[in-house]
Amino acid sequence: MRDAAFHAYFERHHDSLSRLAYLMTGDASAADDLAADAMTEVWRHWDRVQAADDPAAYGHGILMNLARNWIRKRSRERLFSLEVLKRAPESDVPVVLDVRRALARLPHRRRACVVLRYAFDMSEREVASTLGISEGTVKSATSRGAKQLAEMLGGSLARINGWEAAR
Amino acid sequence: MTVTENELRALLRAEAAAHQPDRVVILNRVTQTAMRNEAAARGRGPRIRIAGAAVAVAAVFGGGGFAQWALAGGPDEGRPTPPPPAVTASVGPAVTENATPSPSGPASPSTPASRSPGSRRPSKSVSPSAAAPATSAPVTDSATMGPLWSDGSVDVGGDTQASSVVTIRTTEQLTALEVTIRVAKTAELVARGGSQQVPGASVNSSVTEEAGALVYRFTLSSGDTLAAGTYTFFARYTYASGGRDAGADAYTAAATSGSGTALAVSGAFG
Repeated sequence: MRDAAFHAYFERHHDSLSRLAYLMTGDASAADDLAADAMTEVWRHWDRVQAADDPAAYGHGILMNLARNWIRKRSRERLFSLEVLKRAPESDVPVVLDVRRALARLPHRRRACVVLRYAFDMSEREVASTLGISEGTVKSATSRGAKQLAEMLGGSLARINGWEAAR
Repeated sequence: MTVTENELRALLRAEAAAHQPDRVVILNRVTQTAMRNEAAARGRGPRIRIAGAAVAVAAVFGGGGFAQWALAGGPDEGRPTPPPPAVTASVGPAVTENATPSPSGPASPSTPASRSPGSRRPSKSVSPSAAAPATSAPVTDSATMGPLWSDGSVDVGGDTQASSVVTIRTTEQLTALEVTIRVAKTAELVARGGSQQVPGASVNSSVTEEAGALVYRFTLSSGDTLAAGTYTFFARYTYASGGRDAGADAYTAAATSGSGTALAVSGAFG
């Protein structure tokens, strides 16, 4: 039955969809909305989802597209808001970056790859099928993204936790 | 310095874990969108739109009842166990009729016998067993007033459990709403809580035991308003094995429309 199968799908994936949206957008309240919208798309295209090699990847791929659109829309809106002005001085200060902000600085594809590989433990193949790109692209985007992220976080970790001193 | 790959992994996982998805919020939004899409896709008269919306809810969330599934807090507790075949059968046709362009289930339209009261269609069908034939008369009389339309049905969730379901449809904004479901005492009747599907507003529910009945009350929080739409209220209970006669159950709903008119509807669970 379609609805029973969808129930199961919802229960299995709503959590990870929302967490993924959270890591991609950095916005907790948008995350649940995006997860819901992805779920709705899954529902609407259930036949295709079921026929997919990897139904989970299909849903997460939808979420990635929605997250990307959300980010684009928001940055367009920000161009015209005071947000930009308010933010400007911050970036001059030596920034202590938290994970979210650091992620937000990565280009979309790198962020997507790093998040899916590291936070969600997907294989390169799974990431490739989720994002609809080649495994080679996943490999390079992941390693570049991880390096970039590690550098950004390295400094802040030392400041926040005194990790540097501790090690 | 930089962080190692393992540290990065741990940091990202911790960040993912820091976010607590709200299952009910997600579920509500899926329902609302599904309802809107259904309505838009059909684009016919208002009656049919609403039928589509109500069916969409049933279609998406199945015979077990959306609110029960959604509000019980988790996948284990929430889903009716096991879904009885009759209820499942009633949902299949709804799905293929209304939500899927390409039919994949039983052919539509459904036969009357395959519909259970739990399918919650505004257009009533004869239910095979659980219902008394009290449907047509009350539904057309006291169950409708001005912009308000209501319907009571029983959603059987197994041999010993069921929900009395009240569907309220309003074509105008409501500034106040109280729905009361009286479930007459029968053998081993035990309240299992009330729940509702009222997106976008806060509703308080309570269950009290009164003379000869369990009384479930659902009250729209003061200050909240309900937009035109379809809302569903569930009174859950368990009872002695062997079925339960819902003939003595009743519901009432009192509402205030946006223009200040007091509205009242009532009915039974035929």
